[in-house]
Amino acid sequence: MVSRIADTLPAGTGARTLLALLIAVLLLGQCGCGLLYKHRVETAVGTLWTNGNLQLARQYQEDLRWMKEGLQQVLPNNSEGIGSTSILLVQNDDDRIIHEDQTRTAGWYNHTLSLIQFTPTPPAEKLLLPNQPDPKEHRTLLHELAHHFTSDDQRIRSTWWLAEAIACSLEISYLDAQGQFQVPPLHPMQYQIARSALSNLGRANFTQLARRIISENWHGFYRDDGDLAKRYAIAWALFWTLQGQQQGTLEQRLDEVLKLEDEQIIEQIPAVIQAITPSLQTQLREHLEQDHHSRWVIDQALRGYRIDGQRLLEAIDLELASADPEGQVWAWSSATRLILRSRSRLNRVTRNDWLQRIEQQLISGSLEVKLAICTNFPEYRMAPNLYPRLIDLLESSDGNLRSAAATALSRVSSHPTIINPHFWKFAPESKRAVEVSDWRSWQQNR
Amino acid sequence: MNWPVVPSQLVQRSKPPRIRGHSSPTHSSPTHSSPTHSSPTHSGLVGTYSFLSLPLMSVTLLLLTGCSATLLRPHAISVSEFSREKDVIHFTVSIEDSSREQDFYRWSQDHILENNFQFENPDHEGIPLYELHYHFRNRGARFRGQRIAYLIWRRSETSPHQFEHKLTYLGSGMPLRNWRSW
Repeated sequence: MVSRIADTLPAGTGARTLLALLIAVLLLGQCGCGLLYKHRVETAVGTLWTNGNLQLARQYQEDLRWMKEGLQQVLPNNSEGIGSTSILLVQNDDDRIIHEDQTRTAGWYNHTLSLIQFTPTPPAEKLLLPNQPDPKEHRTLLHELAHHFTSDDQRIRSTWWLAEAIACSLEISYLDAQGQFQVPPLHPMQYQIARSALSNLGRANFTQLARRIISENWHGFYRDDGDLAKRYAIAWALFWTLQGQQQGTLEQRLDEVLKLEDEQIIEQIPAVIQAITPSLQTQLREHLEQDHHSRWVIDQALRGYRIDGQRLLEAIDLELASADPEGQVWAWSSATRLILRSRSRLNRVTRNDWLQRIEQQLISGSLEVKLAICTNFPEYRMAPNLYPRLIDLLESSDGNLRSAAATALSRVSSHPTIINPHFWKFAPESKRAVEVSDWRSWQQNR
Repeated sequence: MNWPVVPSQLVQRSKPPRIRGHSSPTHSSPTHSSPTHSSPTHSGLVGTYSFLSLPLMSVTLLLLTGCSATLLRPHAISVSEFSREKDVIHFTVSIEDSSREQDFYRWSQDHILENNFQFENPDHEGIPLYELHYHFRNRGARFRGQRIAYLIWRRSETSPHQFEHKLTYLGSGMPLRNWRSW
């Protein structure tokens, strides 16, 4: 008897420990994440938990509403019966160190726990990436949410490359000026990475890699071997090409792709290679005519190394023709970026004509347009014609405009100035007048 | 702004830990005397002390080397400055060898404090400095070194008499357009 007790005691202890652990996990699950997180924000897709900035959490609360509505709109069948998800917002505001070659995990989704975790871009990183047309923080959240909206489908859930490709295709979706959810025709970053992989590997090795990606298991696809970004991009390129061969809505095309066998997909790798061979600018130019993507295409094209400035200016001019004040602000900021940049293939006459139009806006445009122009001056682009107008704006009654004009002057001239926004917004007029007078005498003696 | 504690200052203020058996006989009290000076009747105990002192010494040595490593900073061969604005200065700091990320932070922080940049602008008197940029270059064997770190310090909005560390970028690939204020 004693012997039996002695024998069964460790087993009983083990079972009790396991039971306690199970109860603890269940209790933790019942309490939600309240034990670990300070703030709880109810959103359209579920509860958002965070220990960070509550204000930022509330911004995401608003974003999640349009993201959910948008995903329901483009994936009506997949969205049916989708349950809620918990979102863990992890903020690294104090992380001010950026490692050039470090890849960090911005977010993940777990289907079993119906849990999204994501980390917004730290403020330090935002300093390095100003004027991003599609903020990365939207992208990560939308990517993980896209997983949540598609993972109920066993065919997607069990195919890692496809799950990531679909999420990548949807992550760059945005709300247009009319408040409509738009899925862009291609993912510029993934396109560039896939195209660069093709160029570096050559057709044969690219084909080999694409074949491997199609058959990779979880560990194989997500392993951190330095090629993870390449696998994502090639997976996206595969899906982008395959769905482009189908007809119908995005969801209908997705269904058609899901019907394909692995061998049928492998057969299409040459088509993928052909699809990603043209330059990104060529691809974007094809979509410039589509009204609902016009602004998005221009924003993306302006980030390129060499652009077709004339075509872009024509599209911007069409936007300017609209009476919409928001459209005017967007159009003048884009025109400023285009006219003052290099490698835009613009002739001198067109450039001078547009410089005059920009100058006129700095005189008689709305405050918003003036601000948009001043904040979009590229670095090191000398624009002597605009100096007098910018110097005038240093005496504007609006502090923000004075500050923006000072920054613009510092970017487009070689004359040193004060760029501290606090000075231009709040310093006494007498002190600012000294600086303005310095600018005027420099302008006269130039 | 909360200024981070500079570990080197802590180390400089604190005395090095005493190591049992390493004090000189003239200063040692009987309780701190070396085990080798103990009575032979306590030989068993001496063995235990030796046994204990070995890990103790290892830990102390580890601590000491750890502390001295904290004290190491990038050795600046030269510091040059350039500025395009009245309230922004860029410093190019050439160093002999690669350093850890905290060392760049500490070096630039000390540089700011030593030069009193919170209150003084060496080039434009009466105009408070707004931003300080540090470009660390690894001189190595080359004449023109490779940039290995870039730091931005900006005057704090909440405590205007202090500079706030905005970012440290470790690497050389950042485009030139980001080398100045925006």
